[in-house]
Amino acid sequence: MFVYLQQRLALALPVVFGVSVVVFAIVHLLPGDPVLVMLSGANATPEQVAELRAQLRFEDPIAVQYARFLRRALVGDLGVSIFSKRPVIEEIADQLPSTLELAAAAIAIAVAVGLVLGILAALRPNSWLDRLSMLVALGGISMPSFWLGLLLIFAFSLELGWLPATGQGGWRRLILPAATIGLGYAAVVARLVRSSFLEVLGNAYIGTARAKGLAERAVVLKHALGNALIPVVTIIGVQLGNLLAGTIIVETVFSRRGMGRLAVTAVLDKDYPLIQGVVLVSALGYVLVNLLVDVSYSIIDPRIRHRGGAA
Amino acid sequence: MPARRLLRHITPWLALVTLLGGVAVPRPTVAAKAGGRLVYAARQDIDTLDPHITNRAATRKILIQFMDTLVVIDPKDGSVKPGLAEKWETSPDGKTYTFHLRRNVKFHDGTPFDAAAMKFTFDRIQTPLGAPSVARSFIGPYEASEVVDPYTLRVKFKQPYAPFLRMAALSPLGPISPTAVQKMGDQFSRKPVGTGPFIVKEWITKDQVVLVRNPAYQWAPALAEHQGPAYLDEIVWRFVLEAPTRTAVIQTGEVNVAEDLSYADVAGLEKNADIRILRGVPAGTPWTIYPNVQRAPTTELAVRRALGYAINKDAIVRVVFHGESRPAWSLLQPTTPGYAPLAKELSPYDPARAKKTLDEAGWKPGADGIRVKDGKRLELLWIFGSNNGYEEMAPLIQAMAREVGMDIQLREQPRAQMEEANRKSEHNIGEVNWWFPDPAIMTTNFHTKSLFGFNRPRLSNPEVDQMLDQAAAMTAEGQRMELYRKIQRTLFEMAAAYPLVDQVTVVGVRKEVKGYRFNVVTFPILYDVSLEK
Repeated sequence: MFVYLQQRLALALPVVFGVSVVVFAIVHLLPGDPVLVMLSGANATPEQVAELRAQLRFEDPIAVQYARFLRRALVGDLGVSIFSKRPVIEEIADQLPSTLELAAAAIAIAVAVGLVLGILAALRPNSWLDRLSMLVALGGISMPSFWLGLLLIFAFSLELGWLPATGQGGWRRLILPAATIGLGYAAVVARLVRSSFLEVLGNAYIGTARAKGLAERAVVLKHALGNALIPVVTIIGVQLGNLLAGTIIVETVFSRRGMGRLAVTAVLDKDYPLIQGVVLVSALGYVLVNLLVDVSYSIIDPRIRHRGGAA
Repeated sequence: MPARRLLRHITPWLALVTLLGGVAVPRPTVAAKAGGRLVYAARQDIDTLDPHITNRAATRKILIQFMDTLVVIDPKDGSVKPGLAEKWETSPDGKTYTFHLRRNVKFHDGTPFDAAAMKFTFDRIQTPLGAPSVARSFIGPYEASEVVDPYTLRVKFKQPYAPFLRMAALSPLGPISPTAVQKMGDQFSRKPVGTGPFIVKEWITKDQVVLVRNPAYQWAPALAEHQGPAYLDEIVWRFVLEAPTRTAVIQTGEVNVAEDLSYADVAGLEKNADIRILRGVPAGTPWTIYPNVQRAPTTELAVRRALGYAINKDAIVRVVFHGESRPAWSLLQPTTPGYAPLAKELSPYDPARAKKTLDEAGWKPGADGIRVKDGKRLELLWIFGSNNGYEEMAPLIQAMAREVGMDIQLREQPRAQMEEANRKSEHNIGEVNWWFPDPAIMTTNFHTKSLFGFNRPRLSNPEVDQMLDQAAAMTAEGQRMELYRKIQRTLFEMAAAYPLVDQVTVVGVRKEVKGYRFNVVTFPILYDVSLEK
């Protein structure tokens, strides 16, 4: 198990490194002079431009700038935001908990709704229940989160008055934004659970379990569910990137703080250190979650663990 | 479309100014009740709370709640009234200002306010604090301050600088506590210390700023409706970036005030008895586009004039602004001193005249209806900024220009790239509008020295430069404004700008909010606000 973990970690490192190179390069190759961008709000003179340019050391060769960036990043120093003048790591630490909370709630909703819909559909394939579940799932996939978010605000805040539309703090303020992300995601999970379940239910060992006279409930929950879950766990890891992207829209619509808002501001301001920090931390999160997904396979399915250990 | 709409609302927007000031509206004295917590839904996030670093109007709206200024501007007529300075003198050469300061004023941290604190503030603006801020541009050709006695300050400029008196009413030039700056270091930008009616309690980034009442406040400017501490206990300033969300939360009552409502939502909200819609016209410049006089074909006067005649401003007001504004005929907003609606006469909507002007200049209609001269099609490139507020007007004007045989090509670029393209003179049509209390903003838009900045028409005209410089140095207010009117006439005769529609600020307040007022650039003055159920 430990060896397996080590291997996974070793594979993750070059990914993180690659991301840092790409992020650094892309930001510097994009059109737009950062110094002029920073000064676009002020009526700056050429002297002021030169002064700021020298101060920010954008004149060093790109490689030197990158080496400086990486050396500092390794000790957790991601630089200072050009606009707020605060350390990037502090800016991120301020926003990360809110996004983690949102992401966790969204995943919880996605898995709960997705599992129920998916299992219901799989147990009665081609029934009206199946069709309805998949219709709901299709709706969830096709609905843009921007639209869904406003619809939920309209229905639950404005018309029914059950939940607050915006802000932070407490589960009541978390439900609507988490549902906005989670429902779309639930649709993906539901479709996957359905097909995975149908496949598993066709296996011989399910027939054996039934032949032993086990109750249908035990067959479904004990024998089928575990095996059907593996692709679901995978998809959660793979979809995490989409989920993080979803927070950008949702945090804006529901006026929540978080990494999405930070990313938008950073990109619009062309706040180079902040963009680099946000993307790097997001990539790290992505790698970490996929690592956890890999590890969880070995818990769900011991065969994977043994294969990994033997290699 | 939703994504674009969304992006438009979450992007910072061009706007310049802030200041503490107000109007003494004579109205029956209602015993305003003290206490309560007001939640304000703001359209834009802030960059910092340090008045000397910020570049955003969003920040300056908060600054005016916790800072005072030497003078204030009456939004009714743009006149300058006493603030922390009881009186002042300007030297005849316009280079020296002497302020006589109010006594017994204290910063939130207890530091007394005096001439030394004011000198410290002005001097600090000169030190590099990162990106040059609006404070630096407001203070202009500042040379030095001299403490004559503890309550007299003399401010000197390298050149005559007439706009300074109005600039001194802007919060980025308001006094900050020298002891707090020294003690707090970098933390000053998170919890700055001024002399104003509210105190910054906390800034939670991307979420809200909380301000609490300053119980010691006894030095409200003469324009305020009451004296003594503010009525509200607390202001929660929340960043609600999406217009539909602001419309929702003002209806649910999650907030008491929602600023910059979408024009399309106004009619619906007006039917709601719990909400009042307030409209304000900020001083500054209207929504305006400018032809580039240095890039063909807008180098030709006939082409520039024809485009002016082709634009139907009433249609823009109707379609884009849902009737919530009016056509603009001056280079300045109606609330700005120097306002002169000359375009009504010099550049009216008259498509027939546009066609005639182009015919006479040798531009003849081609096969596709677009005019041609010497084998060249009449093509104009409009580089418009994403989320800059012009994206709905641009296609409308494109269609109007086509009616008279001009082909406007639209290219959307992120704001920063648009600025660069404008500075490299790659456009035929540029766009910019400001919130600003003084007609000196025209120097920013038309002077040769602004070619690197916001001079969209790429104008470098000695006569215009000379008049702008002269106006910036004139101390006699009446003559100065007369000169700005003359400059506008010259610019309209050159067809160097097309003001389109006046800027209008639309704010929704719930019925319990009493005493809400706009300052000269329609920022909210919350000092006089109370909550009455």
